[in-house]
Amino acid sequence: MENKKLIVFTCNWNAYHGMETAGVEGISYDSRVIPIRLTCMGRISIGIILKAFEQGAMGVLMLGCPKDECQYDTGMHRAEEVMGKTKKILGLLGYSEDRIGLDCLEAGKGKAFADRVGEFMTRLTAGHPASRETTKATFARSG
Amino acid sequence: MTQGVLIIGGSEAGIQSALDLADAGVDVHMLEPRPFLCNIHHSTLPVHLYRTRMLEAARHPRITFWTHTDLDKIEGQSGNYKVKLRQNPRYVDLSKCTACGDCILVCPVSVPGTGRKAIYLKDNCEPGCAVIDKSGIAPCSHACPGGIHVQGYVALIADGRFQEAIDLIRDAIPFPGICGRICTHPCEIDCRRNEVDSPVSIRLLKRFVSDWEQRLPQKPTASTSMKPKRKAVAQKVAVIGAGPAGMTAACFLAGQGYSVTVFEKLPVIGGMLAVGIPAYRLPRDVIGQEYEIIRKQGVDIRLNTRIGPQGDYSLEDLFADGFGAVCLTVGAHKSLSLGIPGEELQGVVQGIDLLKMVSLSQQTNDPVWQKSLESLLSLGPETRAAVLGGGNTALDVSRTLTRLGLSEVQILYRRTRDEMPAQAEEIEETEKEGVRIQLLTAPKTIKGNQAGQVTGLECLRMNLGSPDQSGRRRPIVVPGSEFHLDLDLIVLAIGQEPDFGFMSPDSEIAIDKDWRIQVDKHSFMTDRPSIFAAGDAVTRKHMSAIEAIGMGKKMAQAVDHYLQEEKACLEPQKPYRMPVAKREMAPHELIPSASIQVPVLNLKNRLQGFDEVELGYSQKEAIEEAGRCLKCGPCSECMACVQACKPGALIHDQAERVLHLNVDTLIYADDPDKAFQYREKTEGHIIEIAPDDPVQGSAAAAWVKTRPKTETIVYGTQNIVPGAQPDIRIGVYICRCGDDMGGVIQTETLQKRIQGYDPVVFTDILPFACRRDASTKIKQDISDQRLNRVVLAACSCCSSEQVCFSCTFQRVRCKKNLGIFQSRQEIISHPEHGISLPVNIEFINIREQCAWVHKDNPGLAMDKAHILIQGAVSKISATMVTSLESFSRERSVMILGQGQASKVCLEVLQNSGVNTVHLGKVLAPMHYLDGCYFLVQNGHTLKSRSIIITPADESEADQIMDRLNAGNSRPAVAYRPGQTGTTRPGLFFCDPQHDPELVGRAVAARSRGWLGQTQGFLKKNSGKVDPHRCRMCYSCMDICEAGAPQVINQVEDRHIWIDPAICTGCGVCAANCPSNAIRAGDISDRQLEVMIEDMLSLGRADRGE
Repeated sequence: MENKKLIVFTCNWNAYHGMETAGVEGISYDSRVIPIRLTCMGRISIGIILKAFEQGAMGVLMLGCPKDECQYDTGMHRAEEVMGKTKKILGLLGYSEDRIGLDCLEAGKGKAFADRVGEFMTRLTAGHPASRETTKATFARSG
Repeated sequence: MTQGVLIIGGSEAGIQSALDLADAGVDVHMLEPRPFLCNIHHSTLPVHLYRTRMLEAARHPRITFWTHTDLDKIEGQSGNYKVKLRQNPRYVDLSKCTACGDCILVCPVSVPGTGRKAIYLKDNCEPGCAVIDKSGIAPCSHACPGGIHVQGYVALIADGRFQEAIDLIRDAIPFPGICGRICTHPCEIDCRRNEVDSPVSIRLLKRFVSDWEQRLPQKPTASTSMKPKRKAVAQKVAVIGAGPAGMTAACFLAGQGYSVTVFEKLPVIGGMLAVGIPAYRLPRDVIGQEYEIIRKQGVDIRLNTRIGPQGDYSLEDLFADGFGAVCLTVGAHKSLSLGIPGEELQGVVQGIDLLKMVSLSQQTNDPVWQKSLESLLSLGPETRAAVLGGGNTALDVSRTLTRLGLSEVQILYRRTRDEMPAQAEEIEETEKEGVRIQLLTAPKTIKGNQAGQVTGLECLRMNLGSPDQSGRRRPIVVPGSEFHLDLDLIVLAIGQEPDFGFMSPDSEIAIDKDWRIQVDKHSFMTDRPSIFAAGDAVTRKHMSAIEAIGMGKKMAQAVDHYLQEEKACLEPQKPYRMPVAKREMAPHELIPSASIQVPVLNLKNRLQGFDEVELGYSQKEAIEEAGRCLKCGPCSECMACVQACKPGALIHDQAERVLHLNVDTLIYADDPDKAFQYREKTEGHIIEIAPDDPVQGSAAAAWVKTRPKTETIVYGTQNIVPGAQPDIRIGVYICRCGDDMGGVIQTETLQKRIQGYDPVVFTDILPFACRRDASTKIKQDISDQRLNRVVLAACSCCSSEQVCFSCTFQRVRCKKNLGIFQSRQEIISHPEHGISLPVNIEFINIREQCAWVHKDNPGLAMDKAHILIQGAVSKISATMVTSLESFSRERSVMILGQGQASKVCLEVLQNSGVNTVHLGKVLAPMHYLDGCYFLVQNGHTLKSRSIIITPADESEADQIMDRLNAGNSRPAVAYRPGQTGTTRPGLFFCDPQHDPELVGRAVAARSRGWLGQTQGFLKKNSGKVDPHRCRMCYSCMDICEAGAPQVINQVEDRHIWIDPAICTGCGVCAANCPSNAIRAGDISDRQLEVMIEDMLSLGRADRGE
């Protein structure tokens, strides 16, 4: 698990600004994070998330705008729908639910970004979810 | 035709107004007297939103910011104003500053009462660049003839930075130790602390750092910090006289690579410094140390060598020997005579001759000087002496005589103490040492005996009358006041003039009426080309060491200019002179605090010899005394910021800029309490709006007429891969941000790693991506290397034209330089504004996302930067091939409803040449086709691009909305109560609860702006459907909140087309398209796929899997 990457999707607006603020304030976080910026979290689809796991990501974290602040009104709702469906599929594939997360991040909150990442990492690595995963998960990973 | 509109004040309303106008095609000039646009008007916008708005205005090609600019004058009337603007110097180049803050760290001046330094940034304010608070040059610096940045070194000393202080002094003059002891300190005379208590003891501060430097284990090797500009130059320059003027010139010329020879007729160096100023004021080793440095630079000093017809060489000999120029810095060593009877008697001597005898007897082994001295002081210590004169020479002579043992020494001066040219502190010390000063006393006759020896002086008492030509009150004899003094030695010290013995009678060098060499006041060249002069030899009014040094430097610069221009005619140079700072100071700054007294040698020890009297400050005393500085600048011009600034953005000699604009409308959006200042400047009308109300801002914009235009829009050029170039050629640029992102990312190593990939054909490293030279290089490379895609790894985060919360002034600047905010057509007609070739540019952030958050792990940071760049390369390689779309879009609006606002909208829009139709009642359902709304009513087909809903009440509002939603346009549109926008871009709403005038104007301006906006920018994020993949399942139409997807129903080709005018770029449609046919939100599914694949596989490769 030590060097596997965590893909963090951020929306272009509040969430990205939170991550940017972490940089401006020099707040360190895990260097295994690979950030991918989307215009809106509504852009995320099940296939994209599964792709990440297929290619060997350790986990996928999605960060969008806070409730009722979505720049495009309903993007976060779409993302929640996607999240629900993806969790089910991942469950079928034998992955632990802890491997994906969807959360909001306010603009300007650099420490909150680092905290979200840190908490997610802890959930991922503590308790070794890999051990709870079934062997079904292995076929999906041989990319 | 005017240059547009002037908006005063960068408030929320002002910016709204500016954007509405600029989008509608009007040029806008935004004026802000402060150095920054800040949210000081309590707008309700959160900080990051306000900043985003400001940057939207900053990036708009039609909006020009004039910050730090005052409005001086308004002439003309409404529709045709001529305004005079005065842009105050910011001293920082807005096209280069990266806001890194290095300059602030090193600035030694904290400005009283502000909590900041003299150079500063302001968080969340635009432009996001530094500014220097400098109202002018400090009075002390202005007064220094040597051009030393006086306040600068005082500030550095106060900050404990002694090395920087001495380097700053040496930037200007080579003699800090000498000036620190004997300078006449014009700086202290002009010091503003004189208004409070006593001036800062600047001279003693200079002495302190000079002594400090001398005590360092590593001695200074350069007499000035000025870096030599050239290697050795073939020309030779001769300097006559090794005094301060000549040696300063020699030093600077040697630094410019000339071979300099100094000819000095005395057996010692220093000129008047060595033979006119006694050792107790200026120790000889101080002179020796500072001269030795110059000698080590290669200046050849020939002592005991006289120039002239009676000397070792004549001037003509020098030219014959190949010297390209000669500098006459011979000083003024010939004394003025009194013109009274008895001057020729024995025991009458000139003051400077006496001082020379003493000096040379102390400095050389030649017994002749000691002998002459002994014969003068015929009675030894019993000699009774009188010194005639009131200047420094008279005092120096008196104090020298007391040290030689004389007990009866007096000074006779014909005016009062106030008129004595000598320095006050010198006069005090002289009296302390037992010399009596007789004022208002003038000599009449010198008496002598048969042997021709002086016996006494007959004197007269004087009174002061009216001022003479020197400005001093004229002394008038008191009749019958004669009295006699018994004296053995009379010393004359009433003034000096140059000895012109070195010139032959036919030398053609003109002498002026002051008995000085005549020179041009800027170039110091005499009438004879290639002969220059400076110092006491050319001036009577400014005879001091520091004046001589200053002149010597200017003369050297002129000599250099003259010799390099191959003896072309010398133009007098008039350098830009900054005004003198007259900063207003608060009461708490003007609290008296006494100047620190410098320790001096006690009286007994003093008179026993010629040891230095003044002992100099200790470090603690120096810092405390320097702390008394009032910071007049307040910037001290210490130049520490210039040294620290990596992009080279400081311009300390920036002048103010006056410009004239011709505008048709004036809008005032600043503090309402200050509006009167502008009102009283004109008889014309200024539109005033509340600074925190953007609706008023838009309404103000409605007053300005805009020109009708039909434009062809070109969409999607950022994604073009022209069919003629099937191969992918990517250029990758890595920005250093000055210091390799804080030293975390080794850019060269990173570059090597990137060079391996196939589609990457070119890589380079940029020092600063946001500086103009970067974009120039990129444009050149695109052309030279035939690149069709570029990845820029810097701090910029996205490649679209939008401004998001994370944008900064520098990122906007970088994109502006690359032409991201212009339409392709505009760049084709103005190639200097951007890249006209079809190139896809991706930006990624390796600074905030990488270097700054993984500082402790440079290796991991580098790996991650590599992965991020790989992601961008993969993304950009997978761009869709697509064709250019172009539409003809006309500006047309339909106004629906019977509310009062409809009339207002109609008037504004028609005046702006927009095709406008007003429908009081909507009787038929409305449809949307080919980018326009249409309906058929009463047999007519009415069409428009934009719609404004102006209901008279809520029920009419709902009715109109039903009609809108009854047709084919999906999804349903809803209005937002209290707001001018609806859920669909291009549809506007005038709430019937609001004042119809205000909201009508505002909505008309916003609609007009929207029409222009959809013509102006290329929207990178908006959706693009691949017609070959589209299966017409309508999923996107169902899911799009804004209603952008439209059906294109052509005979062979039925597919969905996403209207870029309405599409917001969220990408939800792309996420839900079962055919992966849509690229939206700046990225297609295919691109995401390859990005994830390549980034994660690289990540595995790093671990050696």
